[in-house]
Amino acid sequence: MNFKISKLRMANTRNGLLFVSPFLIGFGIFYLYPFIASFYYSFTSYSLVGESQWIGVLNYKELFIEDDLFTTSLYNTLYYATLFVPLSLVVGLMIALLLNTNIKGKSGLRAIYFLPSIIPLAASGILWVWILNSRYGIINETLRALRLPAPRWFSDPNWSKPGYVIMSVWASGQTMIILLAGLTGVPRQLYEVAELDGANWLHKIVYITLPLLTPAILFILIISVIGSFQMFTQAYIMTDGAPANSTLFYNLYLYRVSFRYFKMGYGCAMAWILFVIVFTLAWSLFKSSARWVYYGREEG
Amino acid sequence: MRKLRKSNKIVCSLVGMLIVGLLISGYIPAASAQEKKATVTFWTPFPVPFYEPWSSWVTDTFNKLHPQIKLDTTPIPWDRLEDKLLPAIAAGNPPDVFQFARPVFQSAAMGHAQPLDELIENDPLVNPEDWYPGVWYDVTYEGHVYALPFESDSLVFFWNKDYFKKAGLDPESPPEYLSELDLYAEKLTKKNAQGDYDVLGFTPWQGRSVEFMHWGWKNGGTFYDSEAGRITAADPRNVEMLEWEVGYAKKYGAEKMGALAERAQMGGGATAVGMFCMGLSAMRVGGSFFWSQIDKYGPDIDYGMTRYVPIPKGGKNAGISEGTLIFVPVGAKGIKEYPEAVWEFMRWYSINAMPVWSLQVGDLVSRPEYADLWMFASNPKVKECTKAIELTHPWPKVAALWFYRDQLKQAVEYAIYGKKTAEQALKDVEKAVQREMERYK
Amino acid sequence: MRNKKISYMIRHGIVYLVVILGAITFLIPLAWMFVTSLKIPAQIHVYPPEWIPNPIAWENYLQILTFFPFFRYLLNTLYITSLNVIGVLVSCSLVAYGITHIQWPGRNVIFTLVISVLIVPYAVTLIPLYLMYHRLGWIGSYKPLWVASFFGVWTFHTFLLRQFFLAIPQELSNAAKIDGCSEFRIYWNIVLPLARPALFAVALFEFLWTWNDFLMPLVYLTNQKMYTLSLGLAFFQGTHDTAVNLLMAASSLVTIPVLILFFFAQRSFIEGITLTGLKG
Repeated sequence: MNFKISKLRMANTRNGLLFVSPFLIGFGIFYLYPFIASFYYSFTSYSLVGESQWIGVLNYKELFIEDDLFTTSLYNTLYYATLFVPLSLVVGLMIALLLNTNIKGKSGLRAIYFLPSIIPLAASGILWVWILNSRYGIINETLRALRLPAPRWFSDPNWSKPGYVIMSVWASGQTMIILLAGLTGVPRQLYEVAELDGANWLHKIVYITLPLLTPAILFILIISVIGSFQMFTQAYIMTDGAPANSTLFYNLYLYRVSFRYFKMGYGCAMAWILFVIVFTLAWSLFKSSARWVYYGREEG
Repeated sequence: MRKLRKSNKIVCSLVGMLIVGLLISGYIPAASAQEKKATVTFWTPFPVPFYEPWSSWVTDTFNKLHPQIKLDTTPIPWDRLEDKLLPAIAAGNPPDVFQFARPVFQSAAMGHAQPLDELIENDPLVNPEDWYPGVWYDVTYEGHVYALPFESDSLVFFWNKDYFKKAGLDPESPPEYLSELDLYAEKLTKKNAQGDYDVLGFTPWQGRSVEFMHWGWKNGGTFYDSEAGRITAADPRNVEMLEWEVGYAKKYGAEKMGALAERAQMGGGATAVGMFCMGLSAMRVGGSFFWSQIDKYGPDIDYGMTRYVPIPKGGKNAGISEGTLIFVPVGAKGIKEYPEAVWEFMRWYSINAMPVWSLQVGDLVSRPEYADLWMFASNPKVKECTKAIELTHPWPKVAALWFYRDQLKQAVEYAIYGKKTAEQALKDVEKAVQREMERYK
Repeated sequence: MRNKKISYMIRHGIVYLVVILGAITFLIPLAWMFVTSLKIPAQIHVYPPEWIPNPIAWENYLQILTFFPFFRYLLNTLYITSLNVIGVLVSCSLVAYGITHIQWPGRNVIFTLVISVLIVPYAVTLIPLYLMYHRLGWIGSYKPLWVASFFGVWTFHTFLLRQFFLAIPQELSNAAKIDGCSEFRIYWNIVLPLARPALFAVALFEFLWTWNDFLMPLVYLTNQKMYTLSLGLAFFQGTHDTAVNLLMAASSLVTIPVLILFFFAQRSFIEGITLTGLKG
């Protein structure tokens, strides 16, 4: 008996390794060296040319204790993530659920909701600066028509980040796609059986659709968290940190430090701090997922 | 099985595209030349045929003039220069010549730019005295020359003559002193029925004026004590000027002013079309190239220009001059294998090609000898802007200059949005930049 | 009976209303993009905003198609994008299968690596990656832009497929194994077809990102003739101002192929998958 099991184990391990071999090779070639190198450089004053002096934890010390912009950029990014992650999930869910019903013109509508996420970032950056324009932007015009307060978005340090959140949620067509893909995996029989038992549309969503979507939802949550810490290109194009550093996101500051001030070692230190933070967040999400994600099988 | 067939179709079409692409890629000419000519690789942020045909003109003209040299020009988007240059330097295969923004201090201090002293000494055609002193200053660092200047710009004061007339001000006499400027600004500002601004008289932190240093210099302030090696951003004369700017923010409302500025925004930094072009501001301190933008985006505006930007009483004229330069990145092959060819190009580009560029786009020439040529002197706007170069105040010669300037921009924003007092903001800048300086020791 | 019908109609009506309102909201920025693409520079910033360009500058599009090497860049971009899509579909699905449908001790470690790769910021990997490509002699060629995708390093897709593969019941593969199928046949004939919507999503996303990515072409390409569409777009932002109208026109054109692909791909979302013969 034991002999059979260990033979199976070996076969499985061999097969498993075979299947993941492209990634193992790829990781070894493309990521192992950057991981190790950047970790090493974070303890030096590396600036590409000449000797990189070993300075120990000086970079980290400076980041945590003396660098105000580090703290500001971290705060900005956490603020943004806290707003963006739940909002984009909820909006994406609503759209996906609505578009999964029996309405005509689904293809066209799906295309419309997806379109914003495929516009080149340079163009969408400019568009959004216009849309969130304090005087004539569509959003403020609508708010004023509804007699609601119309904040001055990118001219107001308190409202610039929410402006970015709105823009990012508009571009969450990708979330919708993933959820739509997930929805196709929900067997229709389940709904039919539930209807026979007297379930209405809300019951169906809460007790059938959502649980079966949890693998996709977990994915979206983790990707959104990781993604919000990588916000860079639009911030660079649109506001570049202004006003008053309210849109200085972590990755933007990291880029600036590395590529504008040429402080590569410092940038590497920032990257590793980022890694630890995001990894911890992702790991917590995974740990919690055992309780609420349903894969339809014994183990997840 | 039907399902598999469909996915097969997709795979087939993708593979088909692949094959087509492979075939076509065979027709794309190889990047490197195999001839025995000396090849000089040049990266420039000045754009390509489909927008401003500069780089192809440079390549064609130079290759015709020097048939024994092959010039290979690669244009790069303006705001991502470092993304392409730094990895190339790290890998040891940077271009032979690289065009970048002035001044060269940070690149020189980091060892990214190679000194050119020998080449200059041995070349009778290249003399530092032939450039404006303010321009030449930007290419030297710690006693060595690290780059050759290309084009320049300067700081100029613009005003809308129509608005002046409407407000009862003499359209031909712009304000000389800050006190007049403040008065005029008040007269020229117009609010609409909802209490928002239709026209702002003046915004002290708009346009080129976002660089705070020039205001400090005008007031006699300094930003760096080179003997003591100390950053002096919080010099009381600087604080005074920042408080003057904050005065505008308090009086007119920083958010409201920003809201008006947004109408002209294209998204961050240098690519913003000025409020002035849209008739939203009556006076502006701008870069000299700005006049060509007014002509393009606000052709109906009747405007005046002067090199005398309003100064505080007892202050002095002190302007900013920016532009680009060309340097030889460390590790470049060309300068080792055929230095004459590289230098030939650098000299040609900096001295001969530069006036062509300036003429085309409304930038300024960096050498006085061109300023008197009819093509530049006959245009009164260009003449005025070129004279403004003479009023340039030198930057603090510190390696962390970009950092310093960014810090100051942020300090101005903190102050005008009321997040910090002017003095605190500048003191924080001092501390941060001083700390940066320690790195370069 | 009538009440049920009425409440159904009301619900349906509300759904329609919300969806259409949402669609309009989502469309407005795009409509503005299109409108701006037909303006002349002096018209771009006119306020209040004008929705009908006057004059209508169709020549903007003509400029893009002639003056701007649109078709060459289009072909270049198609080339790289197709390679990337194939590479990702092949490698990421293999890896995802390996960490979901095979029980072996190392699979969680691999998954941790998969997530780790997602977290690392671009600024950190740029220079070491460039150094490596330089040593391989690939700088200036297209290889740095697509070879990596065949090694499963775009782990976003691996993660996505992992989630979908996990939802495919192990019983299916177990049954097939009893029948004597190799792992690869299970992967190819059972798991992949069942995960078709996810595979389409992967193809769509990879297409989209490669299509719009300009950082990699910027850093690795040196020959102008090899540039891609998105890199070409970056040149509309000039040194002192941006040709917004041209940028919008070019962006509109650049978006069209992705839209076509989307229409093509989303049909699989409509076809439902019925998992008959399994306990609920």
